[in-house]
Amino acid sequence: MRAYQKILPQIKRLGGELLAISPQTPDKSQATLLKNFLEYEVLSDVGNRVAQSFGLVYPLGAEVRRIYLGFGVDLAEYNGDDSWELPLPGTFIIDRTMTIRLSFADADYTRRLEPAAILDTLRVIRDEGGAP
Amino acid sequence: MNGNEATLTIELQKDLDALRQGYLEHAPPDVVATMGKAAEELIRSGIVERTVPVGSPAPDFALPNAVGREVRLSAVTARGPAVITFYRGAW
Repeated sequence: MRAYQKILPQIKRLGGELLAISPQTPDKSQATLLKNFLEYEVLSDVGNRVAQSFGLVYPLGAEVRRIYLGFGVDLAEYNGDDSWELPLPGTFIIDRTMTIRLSFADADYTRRLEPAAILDTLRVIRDEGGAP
Repeated sequence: MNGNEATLTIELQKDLDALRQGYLEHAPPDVVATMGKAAEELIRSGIVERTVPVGSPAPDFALPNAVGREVRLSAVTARGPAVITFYRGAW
């Protein structure tokens, strides 16, 4: 989350807006914002409805649930539902015509899209903007 | 797989790899094994290939922000490109 915060000024200069989406309730999102000094919208997708429409949702198995609970992470409490489903980390860029211009998801949750790839795509979109 | 991985540069990945290394060193072996197995199953499920690809229409949505105000994707993209990033939560 902080990596995206770092490139936020560049995203804005390229005419873009950054939205982060998590299954957490708005209260928990606010805590995330404050804790990380984030200056972009953090949206609350309770029940992973939107993540589902982007194809990102998967259920956690019983063994993994036990591990989460062992670490004190009760997803039912954080997310306001007891589905124990999570979104894959994924990043998308959507242009003015509501077309997906960048799509990145990885089943390995420690991998993320490099911020530079986001800026590259935004530059391509900006450069098209002036064309007839 | 959707091509964008080719544009990855290494900086962020190095940080994340270091994080993961730290996690693997400190977590109990049975936890590491279970999480590793779950990750492999997830990859095999083909979920990554089923995410919405480049060139397809984005599903519109309206979601509450941290203070409960509704934000609609199509309203954002009317102003300019939207970068949306899904994360699991900060626990």
